[in-house]
Amino acid sequence: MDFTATRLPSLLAAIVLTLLLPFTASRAEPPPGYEFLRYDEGLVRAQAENRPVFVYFGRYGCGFCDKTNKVGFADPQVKAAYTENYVLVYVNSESMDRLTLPSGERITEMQLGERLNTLGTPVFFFLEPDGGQLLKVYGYQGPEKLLDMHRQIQGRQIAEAGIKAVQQRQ
Amino acid sequence: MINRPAVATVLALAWTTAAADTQLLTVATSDKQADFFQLQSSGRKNIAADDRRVGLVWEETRSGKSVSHLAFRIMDGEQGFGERLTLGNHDAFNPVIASCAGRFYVAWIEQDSVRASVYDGTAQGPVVQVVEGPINELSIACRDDSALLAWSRRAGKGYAVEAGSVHAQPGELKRGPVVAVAPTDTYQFQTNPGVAYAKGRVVVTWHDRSSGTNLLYASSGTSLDKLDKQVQINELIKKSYEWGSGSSAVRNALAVGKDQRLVVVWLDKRASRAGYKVYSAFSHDGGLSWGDNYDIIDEWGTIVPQWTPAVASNGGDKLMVVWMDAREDGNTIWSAQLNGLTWSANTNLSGDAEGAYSPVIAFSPDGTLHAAWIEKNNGGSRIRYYSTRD
Repeated sequence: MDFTATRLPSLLAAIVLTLLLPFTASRAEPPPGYEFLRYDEGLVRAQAENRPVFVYFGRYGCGFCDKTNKVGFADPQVKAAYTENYVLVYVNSESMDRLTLPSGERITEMQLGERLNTLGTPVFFFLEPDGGQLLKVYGYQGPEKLLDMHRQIQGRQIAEAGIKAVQQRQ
Repeated sequence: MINRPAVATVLALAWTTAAADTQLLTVATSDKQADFFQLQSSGRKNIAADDRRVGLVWEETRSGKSVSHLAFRIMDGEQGFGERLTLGNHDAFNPVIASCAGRFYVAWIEQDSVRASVYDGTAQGPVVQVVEGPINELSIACRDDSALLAWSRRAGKGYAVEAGSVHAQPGELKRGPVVAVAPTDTYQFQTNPGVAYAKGRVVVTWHDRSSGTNLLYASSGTSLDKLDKQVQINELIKKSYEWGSGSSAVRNALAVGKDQRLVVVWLDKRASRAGYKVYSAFSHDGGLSWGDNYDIIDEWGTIVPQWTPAVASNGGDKLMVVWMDAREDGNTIWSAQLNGLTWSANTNLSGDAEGAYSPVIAFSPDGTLHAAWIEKNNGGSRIRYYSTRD
């Protein structure tokens, strides 16, 4: 058997594919290992489960999305905090796929970015279960920043629950 | 060709002193916050005009379900748009319209498929299913007295842009063959088609992110079944050598200007801050080759993102681009005209309207501008129509 004639091309192809994999995987999709939902599906689930929403506006090609995925979301503490506490939503800010908003209006994912006046990507929103905005953050977020934001939202929720409890006692 | 915005003269239109040739009309309105209007189509082809009529197509939810409508306005009177006609029998969206040699062709997506019809100004012709779905987006243009259609089909996890045509004949609407505009093994996410006919060539523009970011391409040929290999239109700006794939180009719109010169405009994410900017490129050879990319946004608009660019020409000296941005806090419609070799300073087209967005435009052959947009604010929502002839 002529090894060079039969095996070498497929071996080379395998090497090339292996080398290309990190690049093809670097397109700033939602980070791997997380369950991100569509915006409309996420809002429905958040209401049903009474959980806050974490919305990630990303773009294919976006460098800071890519970095946030590979540095920020790769952190195990971030993964635990976000998957346990939030309904996760990813919006491809350049997509023309249509969403149905709670109001009944159907708009594309890109129109949603227009409505929320997103200046660029990535943009991260924390929302109340009913869709009310809690926090909006632009740009690259490393593990510490992501955990800080999580603590901020949790602290706010605890404070609001405390106020509510006091009000109920009064 | 360069943009010289050094002295950006922002001209708010003086509605109260408008000339007789200027009209501002409400096409459809609702005071219910739950009702919505959409002027949304690939290439932003929701309005078309000939020398005496203008046709507008839109989607709305006033009846409780999503419906697409068509209405005409006769220009030789001062009356508004006539009776609304409904496109299709089911949930219909992404309606498009083109004025081709005395006929108005309309097409829309209904039950995920592309449907088309034709109006001669007095009656609707037959409705045909052009292609079965699942179709996501649709655009239209004229080729003489026929209509060219281009759409994006969902294919597995990706999309494929295809094109076809319809031609009105007595009592029937004939469909032409359907073709794929580019190989789907290399380009797996073909979206947002635009279509045009210039210099004897059919041109289909589209975006694809298979390279890692959305790039803008044109496929062109002497006919749909003879498309040459696609060419890239936008300049890719690599922002980082470590992260991401660079700038993107999305939401293209096409028009044919003077001497059948093609112009394509799109949203470009090459700026480091403040989101998308509207860029343009020209082709003098029917889409075979495209020149440099030119920024249309003047210095006052650099601080905010731009959205939903549309472009139109009368085939002569008039060539205008419109879009929405919020440089003056509220959402406003802005425009720029091509003056010789330069884009003009950006001009406010929607006056002091609150919450204006989603503009579309067309020109009559005599240079009359027809624009429409949506206004949504606390008072409800409406479709506004504006026309002027200078």
